Amino acid sequence: MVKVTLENVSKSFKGGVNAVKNLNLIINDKEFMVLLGPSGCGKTTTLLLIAGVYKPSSGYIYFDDKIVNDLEPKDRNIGMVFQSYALYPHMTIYDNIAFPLRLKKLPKDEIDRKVKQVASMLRIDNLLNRYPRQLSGGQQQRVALARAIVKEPSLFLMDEPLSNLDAKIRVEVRAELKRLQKELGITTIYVTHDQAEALSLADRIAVMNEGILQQVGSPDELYSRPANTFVASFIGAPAANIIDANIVEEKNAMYFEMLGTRFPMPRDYAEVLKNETKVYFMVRPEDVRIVEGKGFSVYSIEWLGREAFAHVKAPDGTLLRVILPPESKLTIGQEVGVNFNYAKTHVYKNTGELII
Amino acid sequence: MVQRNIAKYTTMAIMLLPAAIIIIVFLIAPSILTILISLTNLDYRFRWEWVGLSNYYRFLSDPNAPIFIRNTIIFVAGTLTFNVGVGLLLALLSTHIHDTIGTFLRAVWYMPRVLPSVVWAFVMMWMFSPMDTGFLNSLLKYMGGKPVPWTFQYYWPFLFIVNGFIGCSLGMVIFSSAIKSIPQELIMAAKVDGASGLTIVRRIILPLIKWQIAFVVAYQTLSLLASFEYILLTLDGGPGYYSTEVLILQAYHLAFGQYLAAMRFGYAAVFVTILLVVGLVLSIVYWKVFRLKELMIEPKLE
Amino acid sequence: MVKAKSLILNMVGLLVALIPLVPIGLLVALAFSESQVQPQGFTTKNFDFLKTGTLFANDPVYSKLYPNVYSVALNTFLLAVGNMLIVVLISSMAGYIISRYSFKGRSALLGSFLVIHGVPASVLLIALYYMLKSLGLLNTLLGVILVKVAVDTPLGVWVLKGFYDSIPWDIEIASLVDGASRLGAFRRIMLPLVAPGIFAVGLFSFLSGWGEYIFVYTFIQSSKNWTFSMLIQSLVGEMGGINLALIAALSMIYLVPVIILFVVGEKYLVRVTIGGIKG
Repeated sequence: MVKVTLENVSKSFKGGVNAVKNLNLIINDKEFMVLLGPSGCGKTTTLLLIAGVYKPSSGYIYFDDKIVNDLEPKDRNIGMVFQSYALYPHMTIYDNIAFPLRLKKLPKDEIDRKVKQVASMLRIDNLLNRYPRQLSGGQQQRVALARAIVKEPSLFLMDEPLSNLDAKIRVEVRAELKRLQKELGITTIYVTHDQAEALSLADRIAVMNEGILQQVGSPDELYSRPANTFVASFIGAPAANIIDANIVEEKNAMYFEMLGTRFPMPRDYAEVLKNETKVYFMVRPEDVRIVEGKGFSVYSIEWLGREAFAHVKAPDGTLLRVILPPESKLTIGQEVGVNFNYAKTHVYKNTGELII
Repeated sequence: MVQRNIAKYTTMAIMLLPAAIIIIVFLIAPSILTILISLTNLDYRFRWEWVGLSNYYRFLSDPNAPIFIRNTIIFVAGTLTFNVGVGLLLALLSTHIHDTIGTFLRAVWYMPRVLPSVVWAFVMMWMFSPMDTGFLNSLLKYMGGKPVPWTFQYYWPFLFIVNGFIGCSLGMVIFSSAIKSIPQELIMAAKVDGASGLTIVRRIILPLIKWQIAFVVAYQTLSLLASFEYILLTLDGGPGYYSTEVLILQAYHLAFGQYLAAMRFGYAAVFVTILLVVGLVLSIVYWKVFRLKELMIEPKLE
Repeated sequence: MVKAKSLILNMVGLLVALIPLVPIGLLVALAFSESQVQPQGFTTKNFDFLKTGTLFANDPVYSKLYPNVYSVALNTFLLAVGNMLIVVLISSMAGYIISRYSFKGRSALLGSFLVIHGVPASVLLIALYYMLKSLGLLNTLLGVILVKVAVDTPLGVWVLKGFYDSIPWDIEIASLVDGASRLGAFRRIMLPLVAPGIFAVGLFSFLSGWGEYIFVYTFIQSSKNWTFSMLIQSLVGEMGGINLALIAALSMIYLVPVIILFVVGEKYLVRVTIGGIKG
């Protein structure tokens, strides 16, 4: 069980690619931390830096209080699970799981005991004599997990381990993974590009984009208070509406001028936005209210059972994403008005950072 | 940090060095040495005496030199045509028939390449022998005809056949694999459009394997320029006075032949140096033209 | 390919496939022939030399001219196995480094291997003769083996590099994380996974050494170091018009391992040819 600290860590590759830029991050002991971001954002590179497969171009990595920059992967006591599972094709499942223990030169009967114990924990004990190519995707993934768990590591590293599974199995395995991690109490760093997966698994999420850390926090923090427009649009599905807005003052009252019309600004916003001119207004689909009115029209509506998902066309042509209760009886082309739950909305500077 | 690097470089050195050393010592060093030898009059006395470019002047004024050059051109052109032509035909044939037969065909036609050269040369010489004891001739006699002086008269076609059976398997294998990787949909679309088999070959298959054809031509031109083993084993430059003596064979005879004029290493090295330079230049051209650098992917580990 | 169900084309294919078998068949017929120059009848008397290994056992003059067939077989075997073991060893190591390690000049090194492979060794015979003589390796099997290894290694490295390239990085990273050192990962994981490549290169270099003629002819003078190729060619020179059946019989013995290995490993040999060249 270990606490991992990254201090000003940067990594660049041949050809001038800056994969990770000045990353500062602390992963607490026993925590389930998810590194979330689009392809190429640097999350896998970060994982491999922590694993010791890559060395930082600059900065330090600490396990507890020890600098581990130069420590070989084999000496870091980590268990790793890959998207492709990376099972050794020429070995049986038993040998695959036993491999790390054999490298540690443990006595044979101890190896046997541990392998069987882990295999039964993950319910693959009937597969021990088979070869990886004979197993289904879900089974292979559990073998990969077993191989990581059996060495009783102090740190788990997982690189999109669920991406290759069928959607149905994925949800089940997700729950099992979370339960397993709590049970074993091992610090876990998990990489994914799927924000739903991150929200459901993580104790805390670190969002990355183009090698730069965007925000770190609990799922709730990231969802209800994104630090910039990137995080706001990346987390949550359907995606939040991020609208260009002008701040206008007229006759001592302040307005948002956006979507081709004006919205009066609540007092707490007005105080903070006095000196701004152009901003981004962020509102999640579930915080948009459809009211009686004019100017907006219903562009499309999909009934999804638990809720309804609609696109509403604004006077300037922008399409707003809106989530409605399933009973709302709107029709395509219907003229409506729009309002927002200002307790949940946010405003961002032109450059992306949060104002309020 | 330093320790990790030392371990890494030591491993690299230990694993890479044996191959590097043996290639440097037995392939690179001799290349340079060859050029040096051509500037001496090294012969059976084994004394090293620099003579500058006099060997090269001798080559330029050698009355036989044009014969060797002409023979080399005929040999390369003829064998190359056989190699690529037959290779293409075999590839096309074997990919358009039942899989089992096709695979069998390619396997059998690959075999001459695997056989020891002396055995292949022996059988070919016997079959095409101009004497009555030659197989073809005894067959002809048996059927009431007259023996034909195969290797006396038709020595170039003979050589093309002997070398071609060995060489065509390269093209056959490369072209077959290229043809097999053409998406089926393209062929089916052509058939639906009304194309006949031959048209499909001409307009669809051949253009799609242009790169492979060009590659085989380039590669085999280079290797045929310096190829002489089968000529040596069968006709040894004859029949008669230098009828099939190519440049590299002359070099070999000058250096290792049975005549008293042999062991003229210095002069022989001239022939070889010319071929070496041509070969190196061509190789580098091919490297650029075929963009072989793209075959390299950068490693991910450190 | 959309298969031509045409019976004719398939028949043609079958006939064409048989063409290269004709010379081989004739060779076999000649080896068992009662006549010395024609394939006629059937006898095994041409193989009499197998009893003691001495050729022309009944002729007091000729029997001393040629080395014992079994010692010739041994020399051929040593050349083939020597080439195979050394080429496999050094190219499996070099191929791994070139595939997995990043270093300055990597492209240039690989490129030079390809260039070297393209230029035939025949151009170097003169210089090699001089070098081997200076090193005292002339007229030895070791000298021939070293030259052969040098010629076959570039191809071996290229082929094995290709095999290493096809192993996913994840597996190697997994083994490092599991606790293996790089050397341990090489030994336990990478090598077993490139086994087909090693088999192919081994097969190729064995056959390459087994059939070698030019290097033996050029560098070896005394008949006690002869290989099969030298023996057969020397007989061809001496009695190429007289006792063909004996030569055919000898050739058949020479061919036995070749045919067996070819049938077993033809697919692998083809992979080596393509692997060393395909773009």
